[in-house]
Amino acid sequence: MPKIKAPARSPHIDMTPMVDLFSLLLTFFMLTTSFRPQEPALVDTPSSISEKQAQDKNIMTIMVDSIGRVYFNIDNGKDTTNHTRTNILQAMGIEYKIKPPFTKDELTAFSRLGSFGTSIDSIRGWIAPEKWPRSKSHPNIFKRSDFQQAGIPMKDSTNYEFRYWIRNARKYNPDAEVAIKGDAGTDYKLIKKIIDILQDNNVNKFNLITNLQKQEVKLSDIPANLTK
Amino acid sequence: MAEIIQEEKGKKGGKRRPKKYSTRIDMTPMVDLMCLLITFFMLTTAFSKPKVMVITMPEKNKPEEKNEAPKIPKERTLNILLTEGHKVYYYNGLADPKTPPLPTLVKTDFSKDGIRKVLLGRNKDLFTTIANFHDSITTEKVRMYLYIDDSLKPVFARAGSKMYRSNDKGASWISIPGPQITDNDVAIANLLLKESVKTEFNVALNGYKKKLIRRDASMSEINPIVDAETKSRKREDMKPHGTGPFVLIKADDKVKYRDIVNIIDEMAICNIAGYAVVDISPVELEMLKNAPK
Repeated sequence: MPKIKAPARSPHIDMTPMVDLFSLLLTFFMLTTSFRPQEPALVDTPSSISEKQAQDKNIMTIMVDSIGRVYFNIDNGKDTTNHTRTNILQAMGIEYKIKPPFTKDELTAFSRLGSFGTSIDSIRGWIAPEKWPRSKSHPNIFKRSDFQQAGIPMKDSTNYEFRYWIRNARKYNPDAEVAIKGDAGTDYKLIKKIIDILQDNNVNKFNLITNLQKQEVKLSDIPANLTK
Repeated sequence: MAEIIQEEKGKKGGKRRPKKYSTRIDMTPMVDLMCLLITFFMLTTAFSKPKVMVITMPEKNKPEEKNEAPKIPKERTLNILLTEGHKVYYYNGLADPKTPPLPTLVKTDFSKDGIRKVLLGRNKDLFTTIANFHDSITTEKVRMYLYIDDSLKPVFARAGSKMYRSNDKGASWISIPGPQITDNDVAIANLLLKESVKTEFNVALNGYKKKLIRRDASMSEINPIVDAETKSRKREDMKPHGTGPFVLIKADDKVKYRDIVNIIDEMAICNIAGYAVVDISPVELEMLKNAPK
């Protein structure tokens, strides 16, 4: 008996539809992506029922992590020709008599960076960690995270750097909204202090960043007898 | 498209034809790359923006301005004291060392039957009003009516709205469908404003007369007008009726940030109209010391 031969088929699969679909997806993701900003510390925010979304432009964010380190971030605002960040850093440099004064390169680099938590003395190292002089105790090249160990000084009452950051930020971009991203486990005392400093600078409205957690109350939940 | 040209084999003699190549391109590397890129974008995309809870703090008293703090009736004041270990205490009225006895602290917690019950009990009137208003919207009791020229009737007939006769000649009322003002209604309003030469329209929202003003409008411009209408209506309903509590939130130094957010969140859940986060007084600290553990 002769063998039955299966008709020879090409082992190729037509991939055109798949490629079509992939390019569509790729285009979609490329157009919709807004990158997650890198954050200097992990913060576990408390939850609330609020569904209001934070605005993504023209906002200053104060981050407080669980052990009370304070980080500060402000964007360049609606009009980037104002150079908000550059101006703030320059003003801070003059206020704290930083020598030598910040160079143009440093100012530009700073304006492109995000959240920082370092004292003004070492902010130069945070901007360009590879240029920071090495010492015997630290022979390796510095990393940016090396400068974020302490947060912005605000506990020491003589060295209230945080206050000046806020003051300058308010000066150069008075319409920026204020968002506070605090860790649920941090002390309210510290948050209160931050709020106080902000109130001294005429900020009375705060956006507390929270996780959404829905909770509902119905009429039937109201206790019948009023607890007076 | 998907056919394959196979080489013919086993030809005897004849012309020697140039070798035929397949017209297909191997797309595997391209697909590989695309897969990689898609994965990358999917993982790095931040889809949801963070949510925020807005809180307005009472303005600080400046030493040069001797503004007196707004006075709140004693009966309406509910003081909530927070302390370490997520403990919540509350008392009614005012703690004044000059007029003993001091009010007693009641201990409660953040659970569903804790402080929330207290707040709801105190806020019953307002909460009921809001809940009813919400119900009236969802059960279509609230409708929007538009006062239009008869020349515009065809426009609305197309949109499928109900018409009502008006007392005025040459005009009618149109009900804008839907329990809430939807995109569709905005579209209608948009259409109306575009096709008409009139500059003003009367709108009735559940008995309240309002005026819509014509603009060279785009959707984004109409939205705020319509929004403002609903909002002003809502606010009228939500005005405290003079019986709701005024909650003063006070925290000592050992409180965690989570508790503060929790208690402010409770205010939102229970629809408390008036509350403020204020500093704790020495008297209250003393009261906390002697409070039931």
